[in-house]
Parts: sequence; C-alpha cells; structure tokens
Amino acid sequence: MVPGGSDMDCPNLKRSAVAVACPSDDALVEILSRVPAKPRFRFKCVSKPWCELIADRLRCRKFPQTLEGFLFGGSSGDNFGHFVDLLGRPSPLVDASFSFLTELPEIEKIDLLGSCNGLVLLGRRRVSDVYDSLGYIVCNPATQQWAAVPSSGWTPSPLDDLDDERTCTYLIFDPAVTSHFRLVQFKQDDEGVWLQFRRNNDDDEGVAEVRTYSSESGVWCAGQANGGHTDGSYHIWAVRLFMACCISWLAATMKARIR
Amino acid sequence: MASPAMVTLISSDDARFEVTEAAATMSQTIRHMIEDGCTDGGIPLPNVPARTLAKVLEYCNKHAAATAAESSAAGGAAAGSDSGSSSSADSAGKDDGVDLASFDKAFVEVDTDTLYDLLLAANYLDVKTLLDLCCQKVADMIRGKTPEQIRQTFGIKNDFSPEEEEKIRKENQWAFE
Repeated sequence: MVPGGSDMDCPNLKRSAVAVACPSDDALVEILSRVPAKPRFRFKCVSKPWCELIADRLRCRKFPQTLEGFLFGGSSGDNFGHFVDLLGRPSPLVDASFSFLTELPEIEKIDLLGSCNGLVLLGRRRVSDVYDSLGYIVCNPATQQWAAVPSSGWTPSPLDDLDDERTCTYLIFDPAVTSHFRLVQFKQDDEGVWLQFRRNNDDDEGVAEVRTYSSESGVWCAGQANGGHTDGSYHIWAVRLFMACCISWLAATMKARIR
Repeated sequence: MASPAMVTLISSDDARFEVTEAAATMSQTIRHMIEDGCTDGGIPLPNVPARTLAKVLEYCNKHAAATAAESSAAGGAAAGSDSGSSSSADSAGKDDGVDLASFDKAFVEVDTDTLYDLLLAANYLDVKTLLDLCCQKVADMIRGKTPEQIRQTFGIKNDFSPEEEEKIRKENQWAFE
C-alpha cells in the first residue's frame, strides 16, 4: 500500500545498510538444517514463509531426526494417553490422548499400533468389534494431520488370538525417501498360526502372505512372499528389522532396500 | 612434469580468472560445463561477480592444492619417498588437515554481506564443502537469535497477525523457554 513497504514483497532482493539479503529457500534449508531444533522451531515465528519452510514435510528430510519421547497407555483401557518427553519439556509436545481424533463423531475406538519416523499408526474399529474392522488411521501427532486408511478387507479367523491381531499391521514411513507412507499387514493361515518370515526361511518358504497399502495409490495390494525373492518378502524383512530395532537410521537403510 | 591444465572463468562483470582445472572442478557446475566441452573462450559465470569469484577461487585453490599434496605425499610414501621432504607423509598430511581447518575458519570470518555472497555463489557453483562451511557459519550466527532479531538481520517483514504469531508461539512454547 505504501511504496516504502515493498521490502515485504521481495525480501530476497532488498539490500539495505541494516539488513542483508535473505538467503534463497534452498540456502535457507541448508542453513536451518544446521541449526539445533530449539531455535529452528522458534524461527517459525519469523514470518509465514519461514514457518512454511520449517514445517514443510518434504523438507523435513534435511532436518536431523531426534527421538522425542514415548507414547504409552494408562488406566483408561486405551493403550495410549501418556507421553514421556525425553527432553523433559514442561508443555506437552503432542496431544497424547489423540483427542483431535477421539472427539470426532465418526471415530468410535482407536488403538495405538505403532509408529515410524514421526507418524503414528492407529487401528480403528467399532466399540463392539475385536479387530480393526474400520481400517486404520495414520497421523502426525505433532501437527495433528491425519489420514484414514480403509480396512484391507480380510477378517482374522479364528478371532481368539487378539494380542497377535494387534501386532499384524505395521507402518513404514521415511520422509527422506517419500512423503507417502506404507502399511504392511501379515495374514494368518487357516489354523490361526501367525506366519513368520524367518531370515533362515527354509521351512516356511511360500507361506508368508502380506498385504501392503501405499498412501500414494490409496489401495491395498496382496502379495505372496516366497523364498525371499518377491517384493513382499522385502517388506517383511524390513518389518522384522523395524520391530527389532526402532532406530531411524536403520529404518532409512531398509527403505533403500525396499525401493 | 607437464604444466597443469588451466581453464578461464569469466565473472558476471567480465573479469577473467585463470585457474587450474583441479581447482575449477571443485565446482560441480563448472565440472559439468568442462565435461560438456563448453570451455572455449572461457566459462561464463553470469551469477557470480568478480569480488565473490576471487574469494571462491581462493578457497578452491587452497583445497585443490591440499588434495594434490595429500595424494602426492601418499604416492611418495608408497614409492619410498624421494621428494626431499623432511617430515614423514603422515605428519605432513596431519599438518595439512590442521592448516586447512584453520584456513576454513579464517575464510568465513568476513562481514555478513560477503558471507551471503559466498553462500549464494557456493550454492550456484555447487562447491559442496564451501556451501557446508558457509551454511554452518550462518547457522552458528543465527542460532541464538530471537525471531525479531532474525527479521532485523534479514530484513524480513513479520506477516503474521498478533493472534497468528501467538498461536505459533504457543504451539512451540518449549522452543522459547
């Protein structure tokens, strides 16, 4: 509105005695990736472009990933609700009760199934159901963004081994590779035995069946893993490593294999 | 010994710089131009003024020479060392490392305008180690600043409403404590 106010339009080109030119977005990402997390989050207040740059999921790959804390359940019967902040920050980093989901009328019952690189996987069901009949929710508890994943379509049979049921679906997400996530689901065999894909898999060749979901395609795909040679088997191998070691660099290595 | 291959670089303000190919190809951008055979009559760098290019080349010359010294020291040691150097290859390499680190440290002890010019040039020329060096220097400079100080430093207009700013501040309260 005032000609003198034009510096807000193009800060990159403005050069005065008091201020230096603001680096380009690319350079700024390089710089901010070298700034510790605390000032980096503080700098979200600088301006809208800075806020977007720092919050932008795709650029998260540039920023160091740190373990922030653990989610765990309490007396309410849910397996979530509490968050231990490893850095001891007084104000909660995330809403551990997931009230941004549980308060939605369309969501009856959710269960925490797992997490991967900042995203959380929740199973979704009716209160009366004993398995994730309504599919899944993948959310970022820090930003409270979430995505619904439909049920893969198969129902566990028999329904008596519910502890295993809770562990049959895994989330794989690596922002360094793609902003899309994947789910991997194990299938029971007819006797209700959970099929395990062992690294030394002579005994169970051809028996592990998996379904995978990609947020990119938005559909579940069935895959038969036999002998460790199919795409599906890589998923299982990856999942097993995810289960064994929840260390993000290892996860990143595994994603490279999956691709 | 044959004299090293030389290339000519032309800054945005038409100054010509003659440098060894080893120094010039620390820039991936220039390396690709040379590989594509675009070197006749000099390599134009329309985004880099002479003042900045001179500084970048000071960095590249130093690092290219250090790399060459390192590999010849390693080669000399393997061949039984007849270079006449009094120090062993090991200690020479180590000295170079210390030397290079102190060179780097001193290299970015410049005013902020120069530092940003270097950063932009390193980005455009794709000199990874120099870009790292400049970005780290800027990061160290800004890490202790408040958002308001950042705005002043870079001449950024605060385009948040007071309510919006307060909301973000609240969401990231831990970062302000």
